[in-house]
Amino acid sequence: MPRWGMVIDLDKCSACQACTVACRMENNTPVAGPAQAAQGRAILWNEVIPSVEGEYPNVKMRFIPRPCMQCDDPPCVKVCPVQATYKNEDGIVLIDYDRCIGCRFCTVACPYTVRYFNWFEPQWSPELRAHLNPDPEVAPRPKGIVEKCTFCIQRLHKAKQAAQDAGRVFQASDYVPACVETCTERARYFGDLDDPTSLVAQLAKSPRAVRLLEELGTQPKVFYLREG
Amino acid sequence: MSDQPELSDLERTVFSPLQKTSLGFWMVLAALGALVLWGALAYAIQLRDGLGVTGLDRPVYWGIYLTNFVFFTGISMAGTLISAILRVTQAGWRRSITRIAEAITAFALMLGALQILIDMGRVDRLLNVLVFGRFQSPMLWDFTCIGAYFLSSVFYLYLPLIPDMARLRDKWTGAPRWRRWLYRVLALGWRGTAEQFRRLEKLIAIMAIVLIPTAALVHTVVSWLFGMTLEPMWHSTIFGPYFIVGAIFSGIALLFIFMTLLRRAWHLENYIGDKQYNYLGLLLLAMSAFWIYFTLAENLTTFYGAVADEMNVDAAKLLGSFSPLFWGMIVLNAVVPFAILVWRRGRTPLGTFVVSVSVVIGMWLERFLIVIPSLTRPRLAFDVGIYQPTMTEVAITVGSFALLALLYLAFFKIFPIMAMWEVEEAVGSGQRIVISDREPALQPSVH
Amino acid sequence: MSLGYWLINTAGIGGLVVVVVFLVLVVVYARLLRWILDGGKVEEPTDARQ
Repeated sequence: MPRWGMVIDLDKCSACQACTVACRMENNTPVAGPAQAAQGRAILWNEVIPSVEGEYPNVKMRFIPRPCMQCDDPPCVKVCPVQATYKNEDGIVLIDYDRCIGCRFCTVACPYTVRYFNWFEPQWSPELRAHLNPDPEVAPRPKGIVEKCTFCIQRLHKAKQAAQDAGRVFQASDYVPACVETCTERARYFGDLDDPTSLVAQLAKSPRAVRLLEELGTQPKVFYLREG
Repeated sequence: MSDQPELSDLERTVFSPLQKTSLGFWMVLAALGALVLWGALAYAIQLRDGLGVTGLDRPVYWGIYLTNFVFFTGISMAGTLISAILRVTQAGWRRSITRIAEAITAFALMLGALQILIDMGRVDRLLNVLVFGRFQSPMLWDFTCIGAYFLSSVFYLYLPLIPDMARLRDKWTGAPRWRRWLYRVLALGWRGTAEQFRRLEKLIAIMAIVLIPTAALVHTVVSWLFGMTLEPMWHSTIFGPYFIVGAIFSGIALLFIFMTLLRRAWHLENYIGDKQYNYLGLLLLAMSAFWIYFTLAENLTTFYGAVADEMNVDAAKLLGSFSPLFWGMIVLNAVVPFAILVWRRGRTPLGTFVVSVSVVIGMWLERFLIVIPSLTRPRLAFDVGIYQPTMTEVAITVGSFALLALLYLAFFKIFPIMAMWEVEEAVGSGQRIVISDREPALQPSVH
Repeated sequence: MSLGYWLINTAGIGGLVVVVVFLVLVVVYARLLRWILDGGKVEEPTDARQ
């Protein structure tokens, strides 16, 4: 079984946020609007976070694209009272939208705060609604439950199906999340971390590779290549 | 009143609030009912529109509903625990206040559990917790412990009620039909033989001992709801005992408030007097000292070590945006109790009442300061979280407190305020419990 | 996967624990009540109180 992971090269990232937009279109995350967004209510499974380090004149601005870290030892899964959030056999942390009770224990337990809550019934303007992804796997989630980045799990399912339909063996390269496919600077890499010949596995071993809050022992499967 | 069998002074005191209800009392009930309605309305709107009507956001996913949950389960500790400890130590002066204390536990636990339901995004899926519950989640520990504790404390509240129910059944012959039916059913055919009393007292003694660790467990698992996460300042081993101390502290304070109000409204001056205020006042003072110790231990360790993530939170509490609340809490929980309760003249109904109101507010703030600051500054803090409770949350909180008072007062309009047989037993054995404020209490005799 | 992890991680077992603990307590307390009341059936010369 592959261990899906992602590498993001911060040297290449231009903070264009195409990943954020692609994620939104692929996964049907609702539009919060400026007022709600200012209150911290925006749902962005993938977010490009500006981070200012230091103070003028010794100041440095960095941009950190942040999907779900897909931890191998996820703190969110530990605390879920109903197993609505779980790690599947591919190592991807998912949420059962029909089972989640909306207690928000996982959102609090996630040290990366990558989990989002549906504060209201999801909304789109008519123009945007017309462009919702018709895939039933990413049908809009109801209010009162938690959602987050799934590494576009629906794309994995589709890729496997396509391989089966074509009568060939499914390969890791068949599957790629929307943010990786879209990345204008090709700063994102995706694949099987357990396959030593894969590009992601090799990049993840690079001396530039770091993970966020590595010291917590959550074993994230998203790696960053530091700016050189 | 005329067709009553002859009643003792104690029985008249206990029966009369059950028999007569003043206009003033109805007005209090109506006012409380209005506040409950306000809260219920706010909750209905929240149910319809979603939790977006609160001030919650990312990363402050938990707010004053969780604060209330910790607070209510905390005060629930007082009742049973105080009653149980005083029973185990055979403190004779407890006899007139145990029921007043025990009833707090039952209702506070209900209100605590209610806060969790209010906080849930999909309360309609509540049963999922039983159907799909997985025990690794601390929430399951809470369900287990709080469920067991609630059941046990209701049982513990009910046991000493049985002889009282029988007495109301037998002696209040002119009671309305529903009361006659209720007292008859709840008396369970109690005959009051010596053997029945012997067994009853034995079981009450055993339950008292069982309840003390159960109560400690409940407050520990409530703290572990927070302590098991990696949030800075939550992920700490001090949380279990810190929550227990805070629980007893706030619980005694609320007990004082209810006790003092009921003492006036139910005319219990002859049964709740100097001794209760003096001894419980000292206990409240001791708990304040414990609370100060834990607060110092927590903040000094964090501040001195100054690990960046935790320091972020602690600095916000001690010096930053939460500092007015923090230092206000210190004044309410530490300065006020010590300023008043160290003096013998302060341990009076008025003195303890003032301190108790201060401590109840201070401990609510303490719970708030446990829940919110850590969430505003998570480990991966690219930005500082904001939290501004909305009117919806205020209404639901006020409504919850009103509901607690309403249930509590209604309970004592149906059930006797004191365990009459226990109080009589104390008088019979020479343990003077009947104390007026003017006359000094007699020494209890040797058992 | 160890048995211990299976016990704490399997959906439904936690709910079962809550239900079982609750039901056991209900039964135990009901029986204890019965035991107290049965004290009235014990042979006694006179009722000591009330």
